[in-house]
Amino acid sequence: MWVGSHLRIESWMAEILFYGFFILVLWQGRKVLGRERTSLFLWGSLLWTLTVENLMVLNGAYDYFAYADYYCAGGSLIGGFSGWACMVLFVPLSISLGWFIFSLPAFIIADRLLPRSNIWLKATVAAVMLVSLDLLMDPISVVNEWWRWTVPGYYLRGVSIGNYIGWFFMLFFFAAIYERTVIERGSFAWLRPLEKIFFRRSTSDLKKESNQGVGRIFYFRTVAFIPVMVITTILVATIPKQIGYNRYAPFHNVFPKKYDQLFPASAKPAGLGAVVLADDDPRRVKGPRCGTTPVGTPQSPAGEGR
Amino acid sequence: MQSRLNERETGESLRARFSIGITLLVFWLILMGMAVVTFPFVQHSTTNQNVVYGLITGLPFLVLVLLYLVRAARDLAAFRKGKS
Repeated sequence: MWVGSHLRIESWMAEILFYGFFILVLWQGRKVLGRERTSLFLWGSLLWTLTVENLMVLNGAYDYFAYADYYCAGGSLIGGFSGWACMVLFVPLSISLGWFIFSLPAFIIADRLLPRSNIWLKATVAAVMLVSLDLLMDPISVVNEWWRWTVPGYYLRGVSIGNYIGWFFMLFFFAAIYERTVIERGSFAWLRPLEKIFFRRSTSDLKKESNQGVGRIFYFRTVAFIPVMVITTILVATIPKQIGYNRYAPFHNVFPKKYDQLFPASAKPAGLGAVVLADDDPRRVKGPRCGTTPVGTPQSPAGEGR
Repeated sequence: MQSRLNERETGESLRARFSIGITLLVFWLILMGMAVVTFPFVQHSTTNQNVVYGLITGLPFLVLVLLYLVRAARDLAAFRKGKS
């Protein structure tokens, strides 16, 4: 656990922290928003984050070691345990709950600071707050290998700038959808024709709609906004990539074969680092704690350096 | 205090509003603690640099949370005053 004078904070420790804070925030959120509205926020955020995160992992942006066995108990490897207790496809459940822990308070805080402002301004304030918090959390997670960034791009303290752009738009759009649908009981003009086909009625005013009906429309809008959020993030994230990137892929990806083809190591421009933490870096996790080779852990491509 | 988040504010909901800000602040403090005891971040050579980095990047978060806590405490005090 201690490497020299530094503590390696394992992913399961972070997970305990996330679950503990999740219970606390859920309990407090229910007192502020009420049971139904908090439930909608929770299920909506799970649907939102698990879909987006799995899409990102499948696209090779980062990974949570879903394939690796990193831990031991009683001298033998714990099969299928990568350091996260519960995975939803390739993403730990606690990561999605972690997003809920930050986004619900950020939403409540933005609403109290700007009670009469429009939803987009409130969503911006909430999103700025979230990014400010993540600017500290992500570098900690990278040096402790809770997850790994595996995409070429501009990196700041071992984290792709695209991550922060993504975090901003994640809450920016989600907070706007939630406020417009659940709190204001209104609609989005561009979605009205689609919703008319899907729900077979007008959804422009939801004031007379039952809570169950509002819930269904909210989940529908959450899913409908996923491509909007992803495309906006990709477009904005292209700007720093055009200015210049300082890290090149591939390395240690869930799907190394596909990614190797997209970004062959031989094509790495001179002077760019390939990996965030090189194999000889003391911060790097050296496989399972019982000293055997981890099953299914991809090896670095030959000749890859920092 | 006007908010559309809750139809009727009670002492309990106002206390929860205050404590949710404290919870987020405590989480940030835990992250700062982690930044002190764990490895230096990528591009850093000491954990002191982690702390300076955390303070600079956390500034917008800290300002917004502290502003919120002041307002939430005032709301709670006004509610208690009105009740007594």
